[in-house]
Order: sequence, then structure tokens, then C-alpha cells
Amino acid sequence: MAEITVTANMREIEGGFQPTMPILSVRQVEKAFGGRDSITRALAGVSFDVAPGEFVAIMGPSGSGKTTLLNCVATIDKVTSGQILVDGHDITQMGRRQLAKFRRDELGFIFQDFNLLDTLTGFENIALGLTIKRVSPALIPRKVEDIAATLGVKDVLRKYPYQMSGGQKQRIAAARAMVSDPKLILADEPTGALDSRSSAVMLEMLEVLNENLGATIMMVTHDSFAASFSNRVLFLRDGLVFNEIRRGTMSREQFFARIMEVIGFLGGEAEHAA
Amino acid sequence: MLLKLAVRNIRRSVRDYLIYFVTLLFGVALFYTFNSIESQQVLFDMEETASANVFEVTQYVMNMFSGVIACVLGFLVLYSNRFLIRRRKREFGTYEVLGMMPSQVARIMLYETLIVGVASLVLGLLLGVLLSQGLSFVTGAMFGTTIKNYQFVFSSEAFMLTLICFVIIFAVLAVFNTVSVGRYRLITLLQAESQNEKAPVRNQWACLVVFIVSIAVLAFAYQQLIESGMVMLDDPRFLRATVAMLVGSLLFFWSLAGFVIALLTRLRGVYLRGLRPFTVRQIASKVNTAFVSLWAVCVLLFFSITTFSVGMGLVEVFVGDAQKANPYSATASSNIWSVDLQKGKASRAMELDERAQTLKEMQPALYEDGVAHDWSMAQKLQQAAPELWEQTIGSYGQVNNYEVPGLSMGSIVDRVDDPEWQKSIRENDTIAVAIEQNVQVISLEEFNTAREMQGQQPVAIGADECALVNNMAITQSLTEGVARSGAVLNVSGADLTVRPEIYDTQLYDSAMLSTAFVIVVPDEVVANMKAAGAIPNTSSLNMMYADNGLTDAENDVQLARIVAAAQPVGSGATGDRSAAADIRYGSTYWPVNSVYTAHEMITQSFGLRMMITYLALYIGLVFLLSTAAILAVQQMSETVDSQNRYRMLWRLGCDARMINRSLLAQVLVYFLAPLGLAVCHSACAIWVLSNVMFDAWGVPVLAPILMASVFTSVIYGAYLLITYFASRSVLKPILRSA
Repeated sequence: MAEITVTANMREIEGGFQPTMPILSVRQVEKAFGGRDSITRALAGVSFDVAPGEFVAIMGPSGSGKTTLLNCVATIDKVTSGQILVDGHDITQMGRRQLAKFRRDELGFIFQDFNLLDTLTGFENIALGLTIKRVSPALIPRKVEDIAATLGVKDVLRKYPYQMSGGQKQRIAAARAMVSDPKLILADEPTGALDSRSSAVMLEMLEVLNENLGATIMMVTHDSFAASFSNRVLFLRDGLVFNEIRRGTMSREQFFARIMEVIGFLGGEAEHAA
Repeated sequence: MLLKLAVRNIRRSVRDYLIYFVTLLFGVALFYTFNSIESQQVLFDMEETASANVFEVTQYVMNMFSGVIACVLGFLVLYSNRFLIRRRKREFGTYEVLGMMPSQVARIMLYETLIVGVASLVLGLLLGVLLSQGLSFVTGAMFGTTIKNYQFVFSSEAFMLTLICFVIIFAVLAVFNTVSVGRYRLITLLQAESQNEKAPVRNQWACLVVFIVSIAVLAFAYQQLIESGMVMLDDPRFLRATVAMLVGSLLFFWSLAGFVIALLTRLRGVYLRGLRPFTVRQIASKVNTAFVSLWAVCVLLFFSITTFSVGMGLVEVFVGDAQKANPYSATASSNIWSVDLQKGKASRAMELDERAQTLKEMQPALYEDGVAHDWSMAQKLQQAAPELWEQTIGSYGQVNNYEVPGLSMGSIVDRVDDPEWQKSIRENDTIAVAIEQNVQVISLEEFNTAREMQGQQPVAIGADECALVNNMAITQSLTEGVARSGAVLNVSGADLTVRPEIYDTQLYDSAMLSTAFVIVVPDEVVANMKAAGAIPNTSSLNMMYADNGLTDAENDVQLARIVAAAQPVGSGATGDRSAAADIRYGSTYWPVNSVYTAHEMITQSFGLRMMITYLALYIGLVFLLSTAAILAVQQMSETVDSQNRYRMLWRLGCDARMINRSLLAQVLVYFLAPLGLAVCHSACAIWVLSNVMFDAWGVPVLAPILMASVFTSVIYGAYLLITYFASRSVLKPILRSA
């Protein structure tokens, strides 16, 4: 943990920010579904902060509200109450157009089902992240090629998604998320549709993004292996943060074992409750 | 229960049904309107059978085309319906998962079809009835009269016809739906949404080559078309142009998207802006998959635009000047020269008395008769039926055309000192046909009588002068050149200087303005020609009916009786020809071998105008409607199929404005691409036609082209907007989910 805080602080000082200011701050967020007769509370007052340069994983069983939380942070869904601050701005108070602008300027998305546009080539899929931000066309090819080189997909830039493997597609999607230098990358089960080898490649890539390029990542997953690549894991249950563990100086394997313990405990308690 | 579900379904998906509904509505309305034309005649004073006939004939032709139109509309209904089924595959799948029988699902579909069908049928008929009222006023305007006793017109025949037609269409539709819903497998229904069609991606270089080839083929088609002049439709050049146009257009649409992509991706400054890459790829994938329908739409559009513009132009050629072309109540004509045709001789006399000799030889009795009356048709007719003549004919005047051997148009052209003008005349195909024929002269006295009969001032020319008469556009430049030159013409021995004025007097009743380069000469010149043995080449006896309280139609009958009295049936040499009304009379070279009456000509021209106009409208509108509807349905399905892509864009941070703009661009391009090519084709065809025909007949083509563009814009615009807004509403839930 210490090393992460240091790197984060270093960058912030360079950028002129206050060292302690979190990039994402979720405060008492509640989300309720349903009508008058039956209300389901998917989120029941979740609070946590994510520091710049952090790689946070959010875990929890089905129905724990982890995807709802991601959608709320992604501004795809609206909270019922509470605040979500990104870089100090409360996104729950923004209008629809402002939100769209916020998404394209500040966020990067990596989804389980890749969500590449099948009519566009790899190059165009990545470039789209820039063109919709009205980046000057002259700068785009260079940026796209650089990020593709970093993620090892330079040779599939001219191909269409249906000509790529799952891992290649996911890396193109990651490149699109990264290319516009977002403040926060949101990943929703990024390894969900990949085989184990591609998953490992993908996760290592996220690690690279985080450590080498300094990206702040919030990843939702139910896969402990995937979560073990992060710096910190938040466990969600019944719409609340139930537990939180930090990797600190642990090796990835140690961290994985620690995560499994917590899950085992969660499962045991669930059995006990039943 | 199923019915309730069907009603709820429709209410929920009103927007999906909109295109289907609008198409049906317009279809029904047009169908009724154009099948109810006959019933309009009650609005007009139809005491004469001839005019009533006009409506019957028009209606007959309309009914013939209605068969074709019904098939087109039927196809359209099936096509739009396919979109509805496609859009709702998943819903049907859910019904079946919940335990509904496929037959029950089909029944829901049937109820929905029925409800929408009945609604559009009822509203369409209402709209049709209203439209047909409007059309009566158009008819009135064409007639040149206003409707005095307006009454509401409802055609039960058209109503029944429409009803039967659409009931059949719905029956076919019901069968089609039942079969297609029953045929789908449950798994394909449920997975319908996740099935992403793999858009064919074509090799860029192949597209580039094919695109250039297609442009070359189209250029070849245009060149062949321009060369053929579209005069003869069996001209091999016309056939080549048609085939090249079809093939070229198909190649064009096959390669268009690939070509544009190849071009744009190299222009990164243009391409990499906002949603452009997405918009362009979206259009490209659609054009690539649907290039055959785009091609068909383009060809249909070309056909309907051309038919419409040319049809309306032709109307003007045939009937535009009906009033001006028929200044006399009636004209009886005698074409003595045609005896030469019978003999197999060229229609060009070499000697002054050649016509007289031929007639004397072939029809000695007629020749004697003519000489006895000094070739006066009036005298002959008056003698045959003096009382009828007295009662019917108010004033009359005969125009005798004499042919001047050795004085051809060509020889006159040679005498004008203006090489450029000569070249332009020589190169004019229409004039070239007649350029070696002898010119026709008439005497000043007869010319002035004719002018007086139609209220024109008499003309004076000197003893050594002649004047030109012309009112045909084809020969206008020829006449102008000669008049300008002040050339001296030798008319059988007399040297006459051409006066600079040109008179536009119509010398006899005809379907169109038909005085083509006639020379008016002093009376003595004609007298000298007669003395040398010349007889009239053709004679026209122009008559104005007496103010006898009879209608024009009744006077026409009287005139026919007079002619019949002068030359009993069967006495003729050139066969029987019908003149006014029902009376048939024997025709011959002299005194009368045809009669045109103003009333008959104007009624006929009105009928022709009504028929061509309505036919052009009917076919043009239905084709326009069909093509617009097909494009709309295709574009709508495209949007529905691409919902996931838009959801993706929205998540990436594209706001509604960006996405709607992309949508609008897609709809615009998809609608305008086939229209653009069709307009190019039509422009070429209309340009060729207008050069060959309309210019020659002096008809402005601008009005019909303008009308065609107004109709195209309205119908196309309406569908374009409906498509855009319906597509937007498909995406609305996606763009609103936050």
C-alpha cells in the first residue's frame, strides 16, 4: 500500500493537486428499484474513496449490487440518493448532456462483452474514443498506434472485430478506454468472456496500464484470480461495503489467498444464515 | 384474450407501425382516387356522348394499370410487414416460451394486421374520397371550365374495387404471417437480437476498379442514349443504353460503399471527426448488404421520374395548343396530292400540271367534277345539301395550297447568305426529312380570308413580294432565317422578295399548330400557276358555324351529313374515315377526305390530356411511394438491428445530439443515394428527349420537371422524416436510460 500511495502522491504533486484528494469518492450512495408496492434496494448507502493511480476491485455475490454500483459511477444509471464525486465534481447533479461529456472526457470503459463496433476496424474502434472528444484528426493516428503498440495489438488495427480473437478484441477495447487519457477506467467483468490464458494476458495488461501508465482502475468482478491483480478489494453484500482488504506488500499469490479467505468466510456465513 | 394482447401490442408499438400504416393509407387513397375518375363526369355538363367517352376511356386505362399497381402495393405491404415480424422475433419467442402455440402467436399477428389494416383502409378511403374531390377541380381546370354545380362525388365502384383489392392483399398477408411465424424455430426467435449479421466487407481495390468501371459503363450508356436520341425505341443504341444503364447502376451500388470508404479513410482530416467513422461505416455496411434493393429503387425512381416528366411534356406537345390550333368551327380537307402516293410516285411534283395529269388519269370523274366546280369545296357541298348548308354554315373560306415545282426548301436555304445558319438547318434531323420537298404557296386573298375568320387583321404585300407563315416550332428557325435574309424567290416565273414579317396564322383545324413554312404570294402568281395547269395540292375549307341555336356537337353532325350527301359511303378511293359524331362517309381525294371539327379536336385533346396526366400521376406517385417505403423500412430495420451499437456509443459518452445527427446523416444518405443516381439518369433521358422532341415542338419542359420534383420532394421528404423520427424513437429508450 505504501508504495502505491507514494506513486500516487508523487503524481499529484506534479499535477499541482492536493496529495490527499481522491479521484473518486462515493458517499452514502443508495439505489432503489421498483415501484410503490415493492422496493428493492440494490445499494444501501455505499461509501468509499479511490485514490489516483489505484487499482480497485469490487467483488461480491450476484445481487450484491456491484454492477449497479459500477453503472452509477459510470453515469449509465442514476443514484436514488447520495453523492458520487469524480475529481471533486458531483456527477449525480449533472444533466444528460453534461453526463455524456463527462463520460467521454473522464471515463474509459472495458466491458465483459468487449462492445467493439463490428462495422469498424480495430483502428477506428480505438480512434472513436478520440474523435468523439473532438481531438484534432492529425493527432489521432499517432495516439492510436502508440496505445496499440503498448497493448500489443498493433498488427490487428486493420482487422475487423470478427477477424480477431477474444483476447485481441478485449485489448482493443482496453486501448479505446485508455487512448483518451481518462481519469478513471471502469472495467465490468473484463475477463468474463475470455479463456484462462487470455484472462491472464488481459489482467497483466490492466496491471501495466495501472503501474506504467498510471491509470486509475475500478474493476467489478466475481473472479478472485482477477481481483488478485488489484491493489485493493472491496467486498459488497446486500448493497453495502462488507469488507475491504488491501494488498500492501503482499505478493499476488498471497493476496489471492487472502481474497479466497474472505470469500470463504462470506460463503460460510451465507450457509450459516441459511 | 389474444385480441386484447394484439390491441395492446399495437398501442405499444405505434411508431413501428407508422411506416406500414402510412404506406397502406396512401396506397388505399391513391387506389380509390384514380379508380373513381369516371364518376367525376357528373360534375360536368356531359350532354355529349363524346365527352362522356373521354371519362370512360381514361377510366378503362386506369383500371388496366390498377392491376399492376395492386400487385406493387401488395408487395409493399408484405415487405413492410416483414420488418414488423423481424423486429419482434424475440417477443414471439417469449410467447412461445410461456406456452403459447405458434398458431396462437400467428393469430395475434393476424389480429394486429387486421386492426391496422382496417384502420388504414377506412382512413385511406376517407382520404381517397377527399382527394378525388380535389382531383375533380384539377379535371375542371384541364377542361378549361369551372364546376358550376358542385356536388359531393362518391364512387361505389371504386370503393368496391379498393375494398376487394385490399381484402385480397390482407388475406395473402395473413397466410404469409401464419406460415412465417410457424416456420421460425424457437431458438432463433429468442436469439434474434444477439445474431449480428456479418456485414460483407469488400476488397477496396476491387471496389475501386468496379466503381471506375461502373462510371465508365454509365458514361457509355449516356453517350449511347444521346446518340440514339430516343426517337426509335428499337434502335440498338437505345437497347445498349438501357442495358448499360442497368448494369452500370448495379455495379455502382455494389462498389459505392467500398469506394467511398477507400477514399475517406485516406482523408483522415475529414474522416476522423466526431461520429463520422461510425456513420460512414454504418451506411457502408447497409449499402453493401442492400445494394440490390438500392439498385431496384434507383431504377424504379428513374422510371417514375422520367415517365412523369415526359408524360406531362407529351401532354403539352399533343394538346397544349388545342384551342389555338382549332380557330375554325370545322375544316374539311382534300389531299389531292395523295393520289401520287397511290401510284407509288414520290410526293414531289416536277411539273406544274403533274398533279392534274395524275388525277385525270386515275380518277377521271373526280377530276372533271373538280374542274367543273373550279375546285371550290364549298360550292360542291352547298349543292349537295343546300338547306342543311344554309342552316349550318355561317361563314367559310377555302385555302388552296399549290406546290411550286423546283422550289424546294433546300434551294431556298442555299440562297440565304449565312453559312452558320445554313449549317444549323442542314444538321437538324427533323427539317432534313422535308428539306428536298417543294414549298407550298397560297394566295394572298385566301390568306386574308382565313385571317379575317379568326379575327386577325388582313395583310398587304406588294406585287413583287411574298410573306412567310409559320407557327410550328420545328420550322421556326428556318422561317426566321429566310425572312431575315430578304431573299428573292422565283415562284414559277415571278421573282418575289421575301418580307421580313412572319405570320402565325393557323390555316386549318388540326391537332396541333401545323402551319409549317407556307409562302403567301400575290393573287396573280397563283392565277398564272392555275393557267399553266396547276391544281391545288391540298385544299382546306374552313367553316364557322352559323348562330343557329344548336350546340357545336349538333352542328358537327349536320356538317357530317352535308359531307355524306356530297359523297355517298363507298364512293371513296382512300377508304372510309370517321368524321364528326357517328356518321361515316365515303372519303375520296376530292372534295373532302377528312373533316376536323374544333369541338371534336378540343374534346379529344382534353381526353388525351386527362388520360396522360392521370396515368403519369398514378404511376409516378405509386412508384415513388413504393420506393420511399422500401427505403424507410430498410433504414428502420437497420436502426433496430444496430441498437447495441448505439447503446455502446452512448456509454462511450456520445450525447443524444451526436447520435441523432449521425442517424439523420444515415437516413439522408440512404434516401438520397438512389435518388441522386436516378435524377442523373432522368436528367440525361429528359435532356435527350427535350432536345429531340420538346424543343422541336416548342414545349417548355420546366413545368413538368418542376412538378415531378415537387412530388418527389413531398413524398420522399415525408418518408425521410418519418424514418428519421421513428428511428430516433427506437433509440430513445437507450439514450434516456440514465
